[in-house]
Amino acid sequence: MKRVLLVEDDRWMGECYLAWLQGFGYDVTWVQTAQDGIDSLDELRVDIIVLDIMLPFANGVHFLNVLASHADLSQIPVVVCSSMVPDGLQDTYGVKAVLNKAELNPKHMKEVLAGVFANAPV
Amino acid sequence: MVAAAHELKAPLVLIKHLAQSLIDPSTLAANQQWDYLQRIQMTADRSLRFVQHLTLSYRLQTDPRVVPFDFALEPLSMNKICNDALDEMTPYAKQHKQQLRLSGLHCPHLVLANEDILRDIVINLVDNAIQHNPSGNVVDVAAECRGEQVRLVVRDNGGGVTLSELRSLRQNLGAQPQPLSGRSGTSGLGLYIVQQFAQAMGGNLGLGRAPQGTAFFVDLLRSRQLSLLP
Repeated sequence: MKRVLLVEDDRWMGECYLAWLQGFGYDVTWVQTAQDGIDSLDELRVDIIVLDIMLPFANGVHFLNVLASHADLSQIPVVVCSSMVPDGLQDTYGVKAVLNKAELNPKHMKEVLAGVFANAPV
Repeated sequence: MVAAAHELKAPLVLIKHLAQSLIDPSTLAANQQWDYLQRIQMTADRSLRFVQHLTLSYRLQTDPRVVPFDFALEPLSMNKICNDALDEMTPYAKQHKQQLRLSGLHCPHLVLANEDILRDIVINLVDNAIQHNPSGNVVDVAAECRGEQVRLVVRDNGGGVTLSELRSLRQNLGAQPQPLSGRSGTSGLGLYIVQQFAQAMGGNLGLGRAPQGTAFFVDLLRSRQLSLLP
C-alpha cells in the first residue's frame, strides 16, 4: 500500500482529506505543522506528500526548502493542495502537481495522485 | 477587501469539501455523516456571523449615527453573557474536541455594554481560541473586576504569537488587520472588528501571554448599578 504524508493544519479539512485519501486506498499519516511533517519523514517511508502552503509558523514553502536541501528527501514527489499558491511552484522543489482547494473534488485528487504515481520512476 | 475575501474563502472551501464527502460515501469515514452535516451548518453559521460583523464594521467606519443606534449601552451581567455565549459555542468546541471553561466569574458588578455586541465579542474571541487551540485542550473564559472596569478574558493554549508580533499587534489593534504567523488561515480581521466593537462601547481590546498560549481581553466600563443576580 502506498504511503501518503498529509500536511494540513485545518482540523476539519485535514479529517476530510484523510478520509478521501484512505478511501482511495492509501496508508495516510496526517500532521498539522511543517515541522511535524519534517520530523515524521525520518520515521516514515512516504511515497508522496500532499502539502498545504498556509501553515502556522513555518509554511509549506519552508517545508519544500527543507526537502530540497536533503538528497534523499528531495526525491519524494509533492502534491501541493492549497487555496494560496505562490507562482512558479509547479515542477520546482519536487512539486509534481498543484491543486487549488477551491476547485478540488475527491475524483480530481484521486486522478492527480494516480497520475503522479504512474509517472514516478520505479 | 482582500482580507475579507480570504476569511470567507476558507469556510466556503470547507463547506464544499464536506458536502462532496457526503455526496460520495466512498470518501467519507464511517459514521461521520452526522459530524459532517453539523460541521457544514457550523461553518455556514460562522461565515454568516462574520459577514454580519463585517457589515456592521463598515457602517461603524462610514456612519457615526450607528453608534447610538446599534451600540446602545445598558447595565449587563458579564457572567450571564459569558454563560450564554459559551452555551452557544459548546457544540462547536466539542466538534473540535475542546472544552470551554468559565474559569473565574468573580465579578459581581454589571458592565455597561450592548447585549448583542458583547455576546458577539465573547463568541468571536472563543471562536478564535478554539480555532488555534490544539485538540483536547481547554479555552478559559473569565470576567474580572479591575477598578472602574470589568475585564473579559479568553485564554487559549494555541501559542502562535511571538514577542515581536505581540508588540506589533498591541500597537496596531484597531488600526489595521494583522495576520499572525503562528495562526494560519486568518487575516487578523476578526480581532480588528472586535477592537472596533469594543471601542464603540467605550472599551478596548488587549492581549498578553498566557501559559502555553495567548490571552485576549476586553476592558469595558463598570456600571454603577448593582447586580441583583448572583
